[in-house]
Amino acid sequence: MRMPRLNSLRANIMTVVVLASGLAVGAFTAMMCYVNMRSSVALLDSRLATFADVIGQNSTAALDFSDRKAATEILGALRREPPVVSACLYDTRGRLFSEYQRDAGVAPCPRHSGMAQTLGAEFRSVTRSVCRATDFVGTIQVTADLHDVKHRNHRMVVIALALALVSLTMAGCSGSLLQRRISTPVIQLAAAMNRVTTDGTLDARVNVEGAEEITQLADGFNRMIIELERRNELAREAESRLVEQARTDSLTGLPNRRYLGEQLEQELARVQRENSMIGLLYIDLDGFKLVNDSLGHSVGDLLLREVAKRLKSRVRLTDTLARVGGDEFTVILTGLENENDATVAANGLIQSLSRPFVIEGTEITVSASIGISTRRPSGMEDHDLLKQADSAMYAAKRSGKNRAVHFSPELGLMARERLTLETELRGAIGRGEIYVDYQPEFSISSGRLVRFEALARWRHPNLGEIPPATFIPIAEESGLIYALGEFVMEQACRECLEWQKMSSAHIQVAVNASALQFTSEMFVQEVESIIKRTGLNPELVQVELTESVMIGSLEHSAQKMKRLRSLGVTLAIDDFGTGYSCLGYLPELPFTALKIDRTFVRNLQSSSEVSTMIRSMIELGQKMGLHVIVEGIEEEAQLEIVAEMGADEVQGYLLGRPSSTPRVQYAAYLDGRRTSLNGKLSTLIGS
Amino acid sequence: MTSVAVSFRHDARHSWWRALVVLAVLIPLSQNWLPAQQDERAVRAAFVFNLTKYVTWPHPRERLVIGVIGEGNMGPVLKQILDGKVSDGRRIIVLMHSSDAELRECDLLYVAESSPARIRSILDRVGSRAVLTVGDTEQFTRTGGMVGLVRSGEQIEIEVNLDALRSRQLEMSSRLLNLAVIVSASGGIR
Repeated sequence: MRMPRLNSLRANIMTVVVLASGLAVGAFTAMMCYVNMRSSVALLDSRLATFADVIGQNSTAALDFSDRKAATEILGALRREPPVVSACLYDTRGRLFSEYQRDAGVAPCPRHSGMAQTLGAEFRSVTRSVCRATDFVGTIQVTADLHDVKHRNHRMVVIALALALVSLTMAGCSGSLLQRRISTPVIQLAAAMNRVTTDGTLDARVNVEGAEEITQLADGFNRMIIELERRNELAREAESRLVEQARTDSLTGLPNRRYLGEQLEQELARVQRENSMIGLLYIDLDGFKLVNDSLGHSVGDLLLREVAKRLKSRVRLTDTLARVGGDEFTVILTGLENENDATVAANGLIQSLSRPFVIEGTEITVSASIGISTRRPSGMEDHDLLKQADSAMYAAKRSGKNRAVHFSPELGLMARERLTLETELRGAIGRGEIYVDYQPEFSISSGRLVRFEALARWRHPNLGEIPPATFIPIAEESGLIYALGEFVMEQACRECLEWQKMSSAHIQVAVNASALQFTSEMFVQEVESIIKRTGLNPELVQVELTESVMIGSLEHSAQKMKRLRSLGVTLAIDDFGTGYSCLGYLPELPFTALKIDRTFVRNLQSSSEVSTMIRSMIELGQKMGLHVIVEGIEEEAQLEIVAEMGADEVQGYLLGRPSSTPRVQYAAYLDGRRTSLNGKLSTLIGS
Repeated sequence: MTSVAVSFRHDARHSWWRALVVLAVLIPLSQNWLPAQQDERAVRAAFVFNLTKYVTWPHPRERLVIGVIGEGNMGPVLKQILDGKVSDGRRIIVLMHSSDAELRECDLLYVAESSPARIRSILDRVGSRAVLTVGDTEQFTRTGGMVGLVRSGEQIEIEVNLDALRSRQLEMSSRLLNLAVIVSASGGIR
């Protein structure tokens, strides 16, 4: 047992108990002694008075008759009273008449009653008059010492002290017992709390027996521990949920960007250890914005979930699929043999998305553009895998979407350039940097100029001409495409009006509308208001849409096209054969014309397959009742071939380059049809 | 006395001092110097007075008459000291040389006689009345007197004849009896 500390409960209880009982016993003893002493002295005094009276009474005769002997005898009776040390009898004149001395010289009687007797504090003295009836016959002084009284008091003090000792011992014992009943459970409690605070363990339970309050305290402590445990549990759950939430994308249940970052770091470290290759795919859905805008966010969200599911089913377990943004996903590919493995994986993912999704009864088609970046530990440069994949993904988008592009250093440059261009593009229309070029299209059968295609151009004051292939995607991604499209369409309509004034030939204008523009709810209204504003005959306007309008809801698109058609506007499929051609839907869409992409014509002579394809496309289009326009005619041979194939109309550098002054071009054409281009057509027709 | 006066005249200062010195010496001496006879008589008178306080008479009257009979000059001393004093509320009257008629009035009779015959005759004259008889010789109590104040060396002893007292229905305080020598008429000491 350790010595209790001074301020411990144990020490306190012991101190209080022993002190209280000690004080009580001490005070009691002291009071008893005092009272006893006082009463003993009072008793002695009264006894002395009695002695004096009795002796005095008995001495009257001796005094009266001067019988000293008799007086001495009477006084001698005091011998039986040990405390009395002396008795002095004086006659009426105060002269010492007789005396008694217990021990000679202790308290000698003065010779005369008037003389003071010098006595110490240990003596008590009583002086009484001696009277016979009423007559004064003398005085008597009886003196006693307090020796006896003191002795008895002393004895009592000793007894009291012994009793005090006994009671203190008993108090100590009972205090110790009490302390044990109180402090032992308290010490146990404190030890349990110590275990909780130092070890952090919450399994500490106290089993305490003792006073009711103590057991209550212990019960309370136990309940508190249980409650603490319960709360700890809740906190842990909440924490893990938070961690989970912080690392998970709530929509798809995939890891989020933050988790991807962590994972990527780990994988990169591992790659360095294992000397293997790591690949990162950056996936962006093509046309997801269209889905979101036309069908609503809830459908968009459901689509994302389905896309996530499909992607997930296609990646290996060792790969990490994460959703890093709205319609952006990434995959960390581990253990790659070479760069081609990454490309294979990316193409697999693209393929997995090729089947349409059915969301709430609506069939939705999406594709994906994937940027690939890979890395080997050897010769590691300080470049960000994620940024590289992102740049590559943009490159994939620009080069026609629905494909995978591997990162190359030039792409990194383009990504940076793109960023500056986007900021520049924002003010470009206001600053008049945007203008429209017109490229003529001719009818093969008549050889006549039938239409000019309006092409948006951007001349930057510092950077010069920026190609549409560069700025159109930027406009689409930044939302500037709407303003740009509207500007171009209005410009084209006004220009077209001018052409009508020059001739009665009804020259059409073809205006490109991006899929984004088309998806906008306002698109049909805008077209209508521009036509009304300019006063142009709607039949002179041909809206050219890419195949990407078929992404999303076909039904929606079809309805919109029908509304456009009802305005009188004609509709053409632009860049046919490059994008996501879903021929099955073609009959349901009210197109009036089909434009075969220039890439086909470029390979027309080198590949017989391409030639067959063009022929089939022309045939297909015409069978569906569409005008077939062939783009990109740059050589006479090409012109001859497509003419022979039965194409309705042609367009290309051979026949007329895009020009910002179509009226001059048109005037020249009207002027004599002597231009070489026209001549070529004429000869063709003629042959 | 004249010489003193003269000397006073001659040297007034010196004589005055001398007279003072003489007086200072003389006054304390004079009491011891008084004849022992007279001193003893005064003590006896005081004893008589005190005696009256320790004795209870059967039918006390207002006066306490003390008669003195016999030789010597105890009479005048008693008369001088006790006459007119009050003892237990009773005024003391001292009658000297009391006649028989007066004897009958007495409550206390001091018999200053030494001859037993004379004492006996006096006591006979007192008869059986409650008269406290006090004498001053050894023979007194043995002759039938009640209280004897007998000189013994320097002291006066009290002798009491209890039988005589009781026969006259006089009671004496036991305190006094404690001091006294009890004597019987037959002459023995008890």
